[in-house]
Amino acid sequence: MNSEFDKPLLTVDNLSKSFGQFIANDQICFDVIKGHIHCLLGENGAGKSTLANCIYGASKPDSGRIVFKGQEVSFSSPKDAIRQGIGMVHQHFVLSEPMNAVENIIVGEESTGTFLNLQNDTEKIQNLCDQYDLTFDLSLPVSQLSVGEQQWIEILKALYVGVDLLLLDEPTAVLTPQEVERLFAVISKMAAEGISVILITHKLDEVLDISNSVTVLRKAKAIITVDTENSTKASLAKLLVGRDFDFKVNKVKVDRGAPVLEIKNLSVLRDNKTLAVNRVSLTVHEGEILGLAGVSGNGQSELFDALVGVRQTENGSIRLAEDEITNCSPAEISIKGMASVPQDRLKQGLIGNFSVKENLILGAHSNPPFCSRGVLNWKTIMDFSKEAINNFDIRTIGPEQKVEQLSGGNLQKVILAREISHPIKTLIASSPTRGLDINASFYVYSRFLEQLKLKAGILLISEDLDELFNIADRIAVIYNGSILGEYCIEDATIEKIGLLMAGLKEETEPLVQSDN
Amino acid sequence: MYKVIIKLPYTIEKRKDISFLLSSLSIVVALTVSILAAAGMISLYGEDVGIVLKAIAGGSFGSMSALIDTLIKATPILLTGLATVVAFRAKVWNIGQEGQLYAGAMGATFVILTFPDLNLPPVVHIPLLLFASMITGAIWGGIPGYLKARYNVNEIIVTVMLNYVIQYLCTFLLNGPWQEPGSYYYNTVKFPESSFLPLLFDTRLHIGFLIALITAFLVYFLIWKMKLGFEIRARGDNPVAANYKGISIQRVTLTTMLLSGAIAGLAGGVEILGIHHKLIWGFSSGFGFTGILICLLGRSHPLGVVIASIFFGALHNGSSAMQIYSDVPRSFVNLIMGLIIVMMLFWEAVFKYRLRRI
Repeated sequence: MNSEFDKPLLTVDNLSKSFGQFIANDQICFDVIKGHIHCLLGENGAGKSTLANCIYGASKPDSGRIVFKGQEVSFSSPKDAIRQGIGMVHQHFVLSEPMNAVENIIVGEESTGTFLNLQNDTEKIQNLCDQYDLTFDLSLPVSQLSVGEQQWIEILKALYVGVDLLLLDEPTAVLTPQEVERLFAVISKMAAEGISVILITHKLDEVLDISNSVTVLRKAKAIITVDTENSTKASLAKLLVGRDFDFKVNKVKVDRGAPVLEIKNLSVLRDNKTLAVNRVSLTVHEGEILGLAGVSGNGQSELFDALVGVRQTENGSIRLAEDEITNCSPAEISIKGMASVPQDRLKQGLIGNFSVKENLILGAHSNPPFCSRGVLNWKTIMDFSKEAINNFDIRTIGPEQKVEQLSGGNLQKVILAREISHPIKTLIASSPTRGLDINASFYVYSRFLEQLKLKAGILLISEDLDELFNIADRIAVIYNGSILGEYCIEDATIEKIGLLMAGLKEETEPLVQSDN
Repeated sequence: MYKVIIKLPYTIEKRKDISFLLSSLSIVVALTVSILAAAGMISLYGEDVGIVLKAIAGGSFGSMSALIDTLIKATPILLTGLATVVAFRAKVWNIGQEGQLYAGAMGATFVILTFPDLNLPPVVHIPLLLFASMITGAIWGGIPGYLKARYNVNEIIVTVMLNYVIQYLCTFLLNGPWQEPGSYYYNTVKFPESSFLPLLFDTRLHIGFLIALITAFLVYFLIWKMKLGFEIRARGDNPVAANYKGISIQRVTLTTMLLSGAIAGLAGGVEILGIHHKLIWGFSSGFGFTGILICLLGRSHPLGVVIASIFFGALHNGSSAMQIYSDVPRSFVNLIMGLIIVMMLFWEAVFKYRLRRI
């Protein structure tokens, strides 16, 4: 092999990036060899996309160096990166729908000049297509092409300007298995031509199928970089979910009581009408925490939405203690005793531009004592808010402060204060400690445990296995919309759960995937 | 080859919080810059800046009758501005105030022409007519509201198109069934006197200005003291979270459009019952659209809208005096208004950032 092929084409050295208090990338280091396919493997929120954006010039790292082709680079925009030979295909394509492939590829291309020579461009692009075995009609408008073909256009666009490094952000998320196969063939061919590829993914199979090396990201840190040939699915799964107990919650076991949440054969569709939750049955009892583990995107958010009433169910039933709540409105469900802590605090849980007191009554704002005959009773609301701020130790200037100015931990406290200040039967929490520091996380757990003593049941949806092993009584694993297994906490091990999360029932016998 | 890099000891950063004081300051700066720019243009025009500005000020606030005229001019745009506040607080983009204003005027006219022999006392007749205005305005706002809520049809497009529909319908009626017999112009017969809005303090100022002020207070009360206002703001600021917490986005969308349309309809009713005493073609000089500008200028706050509408009324009123005392044409005030809006948006953006010493 040419010695040039062994030199790192790209070196990322101690790269850090944070958004406010949130650290997205913490001193990341890795190399990409010329002509290699390098995977960035990690859970959602591990910092993969931020890292890719830093390399591509879409955001600026706070510290650290990026060395490309032996020179330290600092891109102020993706345009700079493209000029140097770094291309990126985003998860959501940026194509003009009424235009055809050729037009989409040459748009914004600097060598085009004032007058178009479409004939010439078409020829060039056709040659590229032939080279990579891509057969599709270049003259059709993009809107008439399949998702896979649209992705080819994005890749062709990068090839057309001549990249040396191509970043692909979760490229298979939207593809059918056949399209994935063809995409991987193209990627392999590019690598053979000497183009390096960085593939961002959270799917273990893909890493093993195609990559030369893989960097595992966890909680903003690059845990390790390994050669793929020395890895197995099990070893990667273990690295991916990790396990580092920072602290232990003092959990007093509460006697388990009657069921408070019964989900039977529940199926829920995604926005695009495909099945997201497939015949899920789960039961949560008084005084217990049922943990739902799974890599994100396996139906958890749709399940959450169906339980709180913002998404219609396809079939199956949901019971909250004695009440049937299937397809009830969010307001009805909440009155019947369901509290919820959504995954995205500022998007789903709170109104950033509203004050603390307004957020504290959101949802209860139309009921007495906060409201009578359509008029809000601000005095009562104020008193309630002061008490809640006190009880939940919300660090704020006062009830009038806008919540968007609060830190993540305090945002979560506002949500908890709103949801569990009154008696509840069930609490559904989705990634309740994501992005929170140890103290804030511990506070959230202590509030959960307190609810158990008050005879509530908790469904805890989380990707964080540390968390689940710390406070759950049972752990169920969701994969591809189905529950693959359920363990009592005493029987569960990180290996068993990790494998189920990867879609494997046993280490040796892969599950038949029901992708289609 | 040396590159000269000037490094300033400052960096620009976005402010986390924009205080009320700062927000007001940006308006003051915008107004000052606009007036200076206008003065510059007047002198380029070869006119004496002092005389022109004095004419505008005198013509709008200089005497009792000037002040009254200013308030009369402010009345319809105050109401359409309030209609915009209700809609924009919910981030429902109602651009149809003009059409809803027409609908309101036509609603009152319809009642008068259909029941000519009612012989009601003004105390009953006027509220009835204004109620009719609000109903028709609400219907004209409710159509796009329903389409948005039920089928997610873009409300901007529907409201803009409905503006044309109602204006052509009005033209048709004034050119046909509603036209005053024997009249050469497009207008209805004069309304019965029991429909005239009473005048205040023996001046030309009709009670419509008072109605508009009361409406401003009611809108304030709605937005900050009532459950519906809470939900309107929640929809505007974060519909996703609002939906999770049980606020029906569809219901709020429809209610918002009905309310916004009703207020714009009221503006139409007040204008014809207070000023023209008949429906005449072209009775609105774009009051609906001016209302949107008023809402922007008034920062979507009822009090701000009251101030902004009086300010715009004054500019309009002063422009007549300006034309008398100088050669600057009346339409110059439109230029000033445009300038103020652009400056406001510009300075608002600038004040979002600050310089920080490195």
